[in-house]
Amino acid sequence: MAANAFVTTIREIIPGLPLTLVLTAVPLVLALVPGVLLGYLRSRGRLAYYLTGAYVTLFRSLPVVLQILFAYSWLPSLLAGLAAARGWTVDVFAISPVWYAIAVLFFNTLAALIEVYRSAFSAVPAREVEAARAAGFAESRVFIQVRLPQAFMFALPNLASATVNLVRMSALAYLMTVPEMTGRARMAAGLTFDTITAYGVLLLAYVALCFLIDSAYDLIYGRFMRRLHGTAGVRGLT
Amino acid sequence: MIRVTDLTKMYGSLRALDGVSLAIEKGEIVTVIGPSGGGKTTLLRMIDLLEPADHGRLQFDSLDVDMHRPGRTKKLAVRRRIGFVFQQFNLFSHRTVRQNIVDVLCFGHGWPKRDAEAAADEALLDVDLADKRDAYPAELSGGQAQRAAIARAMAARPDLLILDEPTSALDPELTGEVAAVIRRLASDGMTMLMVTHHVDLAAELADRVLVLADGRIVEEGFVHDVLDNPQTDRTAAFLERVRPPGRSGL
Repeated sequence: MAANAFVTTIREIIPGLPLTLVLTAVPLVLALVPGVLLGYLRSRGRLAYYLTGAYVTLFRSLPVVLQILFAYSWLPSLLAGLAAARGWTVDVFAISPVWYAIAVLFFNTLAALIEVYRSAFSAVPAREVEAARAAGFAESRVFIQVRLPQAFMFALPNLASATVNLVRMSALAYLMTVPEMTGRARMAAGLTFDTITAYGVLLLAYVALCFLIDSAYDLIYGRFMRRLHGTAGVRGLT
Repeated sequence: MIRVTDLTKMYGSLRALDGVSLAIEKGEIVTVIGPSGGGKTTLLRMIDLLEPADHGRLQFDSLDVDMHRPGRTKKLAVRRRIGFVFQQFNLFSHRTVRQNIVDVLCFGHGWPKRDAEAAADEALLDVDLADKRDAYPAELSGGQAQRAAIARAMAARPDLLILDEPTSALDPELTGEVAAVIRRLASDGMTMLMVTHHVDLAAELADRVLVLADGRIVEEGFVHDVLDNPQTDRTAAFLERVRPPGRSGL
């Protein structure tokens, strides 16, 4: 029975993997550029610091589950009302909940990335920026050649955390009936009446996925170790 | 070649530079000495327009710059004519030694990549670092890093080389290799403005010495006149402190 439930659960969960990956990759890719730019501004100007700070604080303090419930139950009605008032011919209720999930995850990831890049840009040594200026770099060049690549290097460990967090957040999309891995594991549990096996397999699937993501980031980060610590640092790690 | 007139810079109520004027002729080596906090580094950074002055005028050959509001074009024009060597090397840590030089030539001076690479290789040969061209700054000793920084500053053949305490961050045994490179540049006729605590090096290389204290030039003159026969108590006290005991002259 347990073996059967195990196989059934795996069969149910695997088709949910692409959606989990979409819910992770799309918000991450969409948030990357605005995250870099707003993170940079947050590390520089006082006004930008407070404005982005308000955004970051808002999304950090709102439970994601609350945002999901809001986006799923209230937002479509709000949009439908707006569409009716403006005479738009869009059927808001036909929009896939996947888009609402992506929107919620995007706004949360953006808040995380703004903080990741703020600290990364702050870590770029001011003296290297000054060296670039002294060498005749225009400010745009200083940003592209010195600030950005170094900030990326410093941001990598926190980007890995943000990505893994995003995978975990994506599980909440099941509340919007999005059939990603968690949603499908619930279906499997319904089919097999074996919740322990269903959620046990789901747990392993998330652990494996997050392990792969972490390993991929480690691989990329390893390429920068020499630049950060010299060969002694690389040897120290291996 | 370069003339700075009435340069003043305040940090809050602190007068970092107070009406400093100086001139450097082509091929001349001018050394700035003086106590810490006297405004030496500020002076160098102001000349490279890395910070706006409160007041001051910079003439670089035919280029006339208001140091308070230099404007982007003049700022870049001045910086491209000056090579700047920093006390802490300030190499780009994410780029190899060779890429450091290539980046400066391509993005600072607009050179085509191929020319920049050839010039970088040549510059590294000049400072005896060809074997370290693919090393990252974190993999270099202090002396090697400073030689790389000098190669980077010199690669575009600047009209003026500014050196801000180029040997201060180095162990005494590494100071020699950097001093040797500076000596070679001096013998090639490079125009230099150097801040140093290394009075012996100043005595050996410089044509003229400026003594900067409390943001003012308290003494200036030919190197041997100033170092052997200081005219002010400030200079005498400073020389007393930085020279090994028992040595009065050079």
